[in-house]
Amino acid sequence: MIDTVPDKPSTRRLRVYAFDPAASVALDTAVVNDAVIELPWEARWEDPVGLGPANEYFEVIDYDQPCRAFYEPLDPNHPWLLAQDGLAPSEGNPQFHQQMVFAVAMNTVRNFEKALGRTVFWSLPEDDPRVAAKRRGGRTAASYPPFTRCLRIYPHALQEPNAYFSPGKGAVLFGYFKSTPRARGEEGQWVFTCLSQDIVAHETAHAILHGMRRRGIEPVNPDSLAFHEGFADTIALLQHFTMDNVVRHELGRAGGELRCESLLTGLASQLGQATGRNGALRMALETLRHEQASKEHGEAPQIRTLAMLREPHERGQCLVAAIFDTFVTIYERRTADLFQIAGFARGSPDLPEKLVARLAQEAIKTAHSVLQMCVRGLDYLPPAASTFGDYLRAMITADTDLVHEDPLNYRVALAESFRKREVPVLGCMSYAPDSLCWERPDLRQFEAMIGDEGGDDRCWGPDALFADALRNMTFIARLDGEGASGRSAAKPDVRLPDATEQDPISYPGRSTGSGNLRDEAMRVVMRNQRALHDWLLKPAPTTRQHRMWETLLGIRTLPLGPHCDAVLKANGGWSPLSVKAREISLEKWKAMERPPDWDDDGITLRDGKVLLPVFEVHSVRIARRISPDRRELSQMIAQVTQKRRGYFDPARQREVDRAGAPPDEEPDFWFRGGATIIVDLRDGRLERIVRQRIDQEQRLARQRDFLCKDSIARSMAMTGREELNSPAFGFEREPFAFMHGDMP
Amino acid sequence: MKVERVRVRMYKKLLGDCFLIILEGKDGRKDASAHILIDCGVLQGTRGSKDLMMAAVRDIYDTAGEKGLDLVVVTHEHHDHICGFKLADDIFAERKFGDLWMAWTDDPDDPDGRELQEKYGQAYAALAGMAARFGVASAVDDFETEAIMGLAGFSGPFAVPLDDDDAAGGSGDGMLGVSGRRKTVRGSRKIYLDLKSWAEQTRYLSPGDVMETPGAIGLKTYVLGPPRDRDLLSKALPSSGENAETYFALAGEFLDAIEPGGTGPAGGTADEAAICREALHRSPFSARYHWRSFVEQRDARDDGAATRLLHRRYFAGQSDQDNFSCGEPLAHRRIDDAMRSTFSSLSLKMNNNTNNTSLVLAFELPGDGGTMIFAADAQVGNWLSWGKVRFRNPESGKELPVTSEDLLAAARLYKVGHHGSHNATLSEKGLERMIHKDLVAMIPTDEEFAKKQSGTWEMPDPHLNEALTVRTRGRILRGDKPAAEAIAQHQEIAGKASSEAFAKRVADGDLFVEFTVYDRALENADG
Repeated sequence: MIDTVPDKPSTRRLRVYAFDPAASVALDTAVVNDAVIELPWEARWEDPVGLGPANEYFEVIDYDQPCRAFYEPLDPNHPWLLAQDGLAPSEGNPQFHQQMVFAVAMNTVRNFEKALGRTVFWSLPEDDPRVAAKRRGGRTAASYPPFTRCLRIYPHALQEPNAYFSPGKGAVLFGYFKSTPRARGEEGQWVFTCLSQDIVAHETAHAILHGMRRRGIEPVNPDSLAFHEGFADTIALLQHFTMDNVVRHELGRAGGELRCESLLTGLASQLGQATGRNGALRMALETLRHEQASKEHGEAPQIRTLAMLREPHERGQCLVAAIFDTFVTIYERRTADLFQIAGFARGSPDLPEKLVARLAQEAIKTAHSVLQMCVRGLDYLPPAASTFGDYLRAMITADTDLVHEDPLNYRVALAESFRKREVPVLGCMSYAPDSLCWERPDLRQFEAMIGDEGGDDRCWGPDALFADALRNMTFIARLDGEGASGRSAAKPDVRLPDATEQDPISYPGRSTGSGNLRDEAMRVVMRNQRALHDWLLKPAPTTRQHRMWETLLGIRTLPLGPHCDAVLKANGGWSPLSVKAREISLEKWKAMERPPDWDDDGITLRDGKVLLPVFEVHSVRIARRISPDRRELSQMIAQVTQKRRGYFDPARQREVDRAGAPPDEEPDFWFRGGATIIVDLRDGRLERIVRQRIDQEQRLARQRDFLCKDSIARSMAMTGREELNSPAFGFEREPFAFMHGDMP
Repeated sequence: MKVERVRVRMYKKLLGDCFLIILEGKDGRKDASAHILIDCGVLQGTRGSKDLMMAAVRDIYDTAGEKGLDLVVVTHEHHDHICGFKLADDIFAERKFGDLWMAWTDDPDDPDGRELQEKYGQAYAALAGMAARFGVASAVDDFETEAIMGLAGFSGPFAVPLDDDDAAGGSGDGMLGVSGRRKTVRGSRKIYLDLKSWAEQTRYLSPGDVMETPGAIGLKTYVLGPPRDRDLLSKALPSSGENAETYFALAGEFLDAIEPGGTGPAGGTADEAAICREALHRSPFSARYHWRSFVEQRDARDDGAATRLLHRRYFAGQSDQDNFSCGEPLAHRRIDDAMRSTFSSLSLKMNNNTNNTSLVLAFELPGDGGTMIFAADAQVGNWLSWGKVRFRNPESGKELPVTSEDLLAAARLYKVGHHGSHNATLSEKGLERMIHKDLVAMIPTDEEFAKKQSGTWEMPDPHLNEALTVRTRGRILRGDKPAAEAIAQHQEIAGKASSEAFAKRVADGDLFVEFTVYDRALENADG
C-alpha cells in the first residue's frame, strides 16, 4: 500500500545575510540584508544535503582551530528548521555561520554551473602524495589524478583578518577577528569573514577556477595571479545582481544609477571598515567613478591603465573594472529607453516603483549575460599561460561561437572597456571583436595529415581530424546500473577495454539506482582523458604526418633530439632536450608503436636511453550549450600540455636544450606549452585551437624575464625545493593565503 | 677645528650593514679625528659570519686608534645590522665606545616608544612560539648558525638566555619568559642591553632633531626617521592598506599545540585537555555553543550522527569506501597547522615594520653643504614621512629653514636602503630628489647570497638598480663587487676625466671599499 506522498519541494530555502552583519546595523540597508537563498532541492542523482551542512560539493566542518573547539554541526533537515528556512541570521550562533557559508558557496556553484553548462569539480591538490608519486615518472594514460569530491569549508579556521582557499588542503579557510575599536573606550567588534557573502563567493570562485585550471596558480606572467583575484572578485560582484529585492532597493536609492557607490558596487564592506578603510574593501568602481567625475568636470577621463599597475591585486582590480564597466555600459544602453518612456532622468530621486522594478530586471538580466560571457571564456583560454588580453580574446571567441549575432553589441562594449584600460592584446590587428577572435585553424594546411600517405584510404576530409579520437569517448554521464524493468537488454561495451585494469585507484560502483551523477561525470572525464591520451600516443601513418600533429598541438611526442626533424624545421620548430621526458631503453622504444617509416638512425640518446617526451591531457570536458537562437552547440574541450625545463641563466638553458638534464634535477622553473582544442562533437571537426608551442623561445624568454624581476612569483615557481617549504616562506603551500594577507 | 676629510668605509662581502665614517682634521692627526660606526651586522645564516665580523671590528678599532669610537649608531633591531656587536662582543666589551645613538622607538622614557616596544615584544613572542612549534631554525639559541633561510635570518635568534647580571628590563625589553631557571630574551634585545652597557651615554633621536656628532670634530646631523606617525610606521609595502594592529592583538596567543605531533610546550594527554580549556576562552561564542573541545571530540565514543560524521571526516586517516575519492588520505586536509600561514605573514609584517623603525640620518658635509643620506632599511612609510619633518635648532628650539627635500637634493652619498630591495627606496619622493651631480651610491649587498637565501630577494632590485645608475651615472659601489666595475661603468657614462676623479676618491680592498666623500684639498682641485 502506498500512502499519499506530497511532491518534493522544488527549493531548499536558507536564510543568509545579503551582504554582511554590518549592513544590518545601518537603518537604510537593514531592510534588505535579511535574504533567503533558494537552492534547487536535491535531485534523485544527487546526494541529499545532510549534517554539516554537507552534500557532494561541500562539507562544512566547524573546527575552531584557535579555540581548539568543535561547534556542533547543523542539521539542515530538522523539521523546525525546514519550516522556517533555516536559522535566522545571527552573528552569535556558529550554526548560523555554517548554514550561511554553505548556502552562499552552493549558490555560487549553481550560478557558475548555469553559465558553464556542466558540473563543477574540484582539483586534487598538486602536492597530494598520490599525484606526486605518479608524476615522478611523467604522465601516462593511466595516471590521471582523480578529483577532490568534496571541498571542505572551515568557517572558523583562523583568528585573523584573512580567508583563503587552500589548494593543498582542498579547503576554504575562513578567519574571524576582533576589530580595533574606532574610539577609545569602545570595544572592538568581532568580524567573521564567513558571514560576508562577498568573501564566501570570492573564495568559492577561487576554488572553482582552480578546479578548471589547476595550473592557474602558477605565476608565469604578471597577469596569472592577478587573473585569479580579479576573476574571483568579478564573480562576487556579479552575484550581487542575483538578489532581486536588493537590486531593486539599491537601484531605487541611486535613481537607477550604477556608476556610484552602493552596496551593489562595493565588496566586503564590513571587513573593509574593520581593517581601517573608509568603506568597502574594494570598489569595483574606483575607475568608473573617476571617469564619471572627470566627465562631469569636462576633463579627459582618467583611467588607470594596466601598464601602471604591478601588484597582482591592483592588476586584478583592473580586470574587475573592465568587466564591470562592460556590464554597466550594457545596462545603461538597455535601460535608456525605459527612462525615456517614463520621462525621468537617470539618477533622479524617487523613481516610480514600477520603473525601478523594470530597471532591476534589466540589471539582473545583463549581469547574468555578462557572467555567462566571463565563465564561458574560461574554456577558450590558452592551455598554459594566459594574460588579460588572452582572456578578452577567449571571451569574445566563446561568445561569437555561441551567439552569432550581437545586436546589443555586448562584444564591442567588452572590447572597448579593455581597450580603455590599455590591456595589451598580442597578435591582434585591432580591438574589433572579429579580429579579437582566435583564428580558426587553417585545415587545408593539415590536409597532408590525413590522406593516404601511409596507405590508409580514409576518405574524410580535414573536417574529421579528431573523429577517431571521439570514437572512444563518452559524451554523457548517465547512471549505468541495472534497471528495474526486469527486461534484459544487451549491454554495449562502451568502456575502454583496459581502462579499469590500468586504474591504480579503483572507484567502487554504487549500488543500482542510487548513484551520484556528478561522481559518474568525474569518471567520464577521467575516462575521456585517458582515451584522448591513448589516441594521441598512437602513431600517425608516417613520421612526417606525426610531426604535423606535433606542430598542430605545439608539443612533442616522438623521441627528443635534433635528429630527423626536417618537418619540424620547415614549420619553424625544433625538439629541445629540455622537454620533460621519460628515459627508456632503445629496445623498449623499438618495441613500441611508432610511425612505420620512423628511422632510428641518429636518434639522440642520453646515457644510452631514448628520451620519450611526456604530455598531459588536462581536461576533457563535454559542453552542450543552447544559443539564444536555439542552436545546439556540442563541443569537446580539451587541453593538451607539456612542460619543459626552464633556467634563469640563458646559457644553462641552451646547454640543457641541447644535452638534456638528469631526470631528477629540478629546473629553476617549468615552462609549459600545448594547445586548447575545441572539437565539434558531431563530426570531429577541429573548431578552434589555441596553441602555445613548447618550442617557442620568445615566450620562454618572457617568462624568464618576468620571474627574474618578480621575487614572489619566482619563489612560487621554484617548486620542489625542500628548503623553501619552510613556513618562513609558505608561498608554495598557500598561494592564496599569502596573496591575501588581510585582504581576502 | 675643521673637518678636512670625510671617508666612508663599507665592509664587504656582507649581506648586512657595517659602515665606518672617518672624520679627519688638519694633517690627519689622530687626536683631531673622529670615528663613527653605523651598524655592524650580517644576515643570519652567512657562512663564517663570526670571522667576517671579527675582521671588520678589528679593522674598525685599529683605524680608530687609541681613542676608539666616538659614536655608534644603531639603526634598527635586525640581525643584519647588529649581530656584529654580539659576534665580536669581546672586542666591544674591552674597548667600549663614546655615544650610542638609537631611534626614539627604543627610548624607555618615551611613552609611544614604550608602547611600540611592548607590541613588538608580543609579536616577536608569538613568532618565537610559532617558530618553535614549526621547527624554524632561528628559534635556536645560536648567533652563528648557518642553516637559517629566508625571513628568519633578519630577526636573529628568537630566544637566548639572559645573563644573571643583565639588568632586568621591563616587558618592553622583549622578555619571553622563563625557560628552565633562566630568563630568555630575543637575541636582538640581548645585544641592545650589551650596547647600552658599553656606551658612555645613549641618546634617542626623533625626526626633526639636529645633532652634532661627538668627538674632536663633528658633523651636523639631521634626523629624518623613523616617523612618529603610527600609520606610516606600519606602511611597509607600496599600496597596501594593511593594519598591523590586528596582528598585535593576536600576539602571544596560540602558542600551545595539540596535533600535529604535540610538539608544543605541553605534551601529555592531561595537558592537552588543559590547553583546550584554556583555548576556549578565546571563543567569541557564548558557552551554550561550546560543543566539544578537540580532545573531547577526538576521544568521543558515542554513536551520535555528529560524532560519527566528524570522526569520519576530520579524524579518520583515510576517507571511507562510499566516498568517490575513496582511500584518499585525509590528514593533510586538517587545519591543525593553520597557523603556518599566519606565521609566514606575521614574520613578513614584523620584518617590514621593524625595517620601518629605521633611524635615518642625513650628515651635513663641510664646504658647500653636501650631505650623506644613511637610510638604513627604511621602507615606504618611513620615506613618506620625511616631507613633513621640521628641523629645530637644538638650543633655541626655533624651526630651521632646511627641509628634507633640501637634504636629499644635496646628497653626495646615498647608503641605499635595505640592501637595494624594491620597497626601500622611494622613487618619486626619494631617489628622484637626489639631484646632486656627484651623487654616489653604496649598496651593502651580496646579490648571489640573497638569491640563494630564498629565491625571492632581488638585492639590488633591477628596477632600482637602473634608476640608481641614471642618478649616480654609474657610481654604484657594492659590497659584492670590485669598485673597478663602478669606475668603469662611470667612465662609460661620464667620460674619462670624471671617472679618474672618482677613482681618486675610491680605495678598494678585500675587507672594505672606502669612498672619500669630502676632501678639502680635492674640492679645491676639482674647482
